[in-house]
Amino acid sequence: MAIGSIQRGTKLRPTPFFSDKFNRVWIAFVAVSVTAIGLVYFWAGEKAEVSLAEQILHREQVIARAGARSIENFIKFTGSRLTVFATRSSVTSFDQEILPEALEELVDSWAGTPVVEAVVIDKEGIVRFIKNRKDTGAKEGVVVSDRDYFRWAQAASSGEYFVGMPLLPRLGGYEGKSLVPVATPIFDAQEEFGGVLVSGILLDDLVSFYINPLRISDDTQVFLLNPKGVFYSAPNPKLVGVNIFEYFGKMEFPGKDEFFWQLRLRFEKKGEGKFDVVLPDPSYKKLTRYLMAYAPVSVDDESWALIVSTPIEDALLYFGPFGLTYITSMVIVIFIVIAFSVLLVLVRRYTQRDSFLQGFAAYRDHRDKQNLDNS
Amino acid sequence: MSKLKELFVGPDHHLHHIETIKLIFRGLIPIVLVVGGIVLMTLRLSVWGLVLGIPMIIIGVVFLIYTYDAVVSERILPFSDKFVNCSVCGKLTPLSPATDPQDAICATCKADIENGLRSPK
Repeated sequence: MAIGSIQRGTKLRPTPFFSDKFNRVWIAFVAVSVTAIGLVYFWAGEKAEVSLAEQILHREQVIARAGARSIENFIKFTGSRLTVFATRSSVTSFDQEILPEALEELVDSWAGTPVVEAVVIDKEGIVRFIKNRKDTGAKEGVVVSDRDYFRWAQAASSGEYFVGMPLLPRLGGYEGKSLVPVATPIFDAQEEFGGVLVSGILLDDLVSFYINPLRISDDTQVFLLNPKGVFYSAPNPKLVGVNIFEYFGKMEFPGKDEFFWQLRLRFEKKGEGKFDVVLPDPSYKKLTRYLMAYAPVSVDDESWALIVSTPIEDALLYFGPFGLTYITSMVIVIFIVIAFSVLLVLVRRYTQRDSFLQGFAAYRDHRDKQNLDNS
Repeated sequence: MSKLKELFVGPDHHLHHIETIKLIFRGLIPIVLVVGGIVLMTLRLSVWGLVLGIPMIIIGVVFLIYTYDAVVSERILPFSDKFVNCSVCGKLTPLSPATDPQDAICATCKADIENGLRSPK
């Protein structure tokens, strides 16, 4: 049976899916919607990442600044305490029996701090008494008259202190670790120069004492460098005593020139600042992006640099909640597009069916009426 | 026999199984594309996310709806060669899929019933 021009043996077929103008418009809508949400997702993620990196750099800057001030104050405090201690009669008397006990008392009173030794040197520059927690390699009877702190002390007044060039013990319990001497002159009862009282501050301990509790992650590294760029303290002991320019100068990595330029700027201006830099990772021999902040540590006339560095992966651990929100939003929008499309297909096909049935009934009724009229 | 069973286990069992398998693949592939695209984008690999992730989702969504449209058309659009008498007025009307021929109602009667002019038998 056939009604009008409708062919037998077939089902009512709509226009082929991809030829249908409506479907083409709908495909364009899906393409635009998904592309838009994809771009927004990447854009928002990128923005959040940049903002997060900026925040971490800011935090590191605060940590570096706070650490630098703490180190400065600790050294000042140590110096001030030494100047007072150097005026005690137990010290000025150079008594063979009393002085060692006084030194022991001094070292014990610094327990739990980075001060690890106290040394008394006589006016000839010969080490007379040593008290330390571990052997630092210093020996009694050694002549140290050529040291910067001894030469300074010979011309210094009572109540003054001096921070000497950090030393790298080659022997003893602190081998390979920078030990900074803080010295003050000792004057005898006649106000004559009698010697020098020196205490040693372990820079590694000093850095970890103040900065470790503030670290952003376990992989946050802290470095202390002298004005020429030589590492005084570093997580990798092999770096201590090495110049940063020479160390990185041997390596090739993208952005090296920019990094060197920024470093030189830092060492010229002696201010504080931030780096977002890709550097070769010494342990894994791969490139890692680091967020670094530095602050000057003013010690006497010198300006050291305290650098706090965190790998970007650790910083982006805080990206999790943002990322989850963006992913959820993206998935929800994609499902809304799918749900809307499903609804559209249903509405469209039901409308098509109803239109067909209504058209068929109208044609049938019209034909019946014509037949009736003709008869 | 239920309508669902009728759809999958018709008189020609073999052909229905093939159609079912085809349908599963036609539905599964776009879903894999959409999910794969979303996963690729969540990896936050900017270039691959943009170059592969977004097109995968677009193609997945389009083919998912294409498959859905094919299934819906199969179940909704009426047969053009199967005509039965309307259960209300007795006039000829096309038979829609999943409709019992004895319960078929033509569009005119359906409109009349909806407007309260007639009542179904």
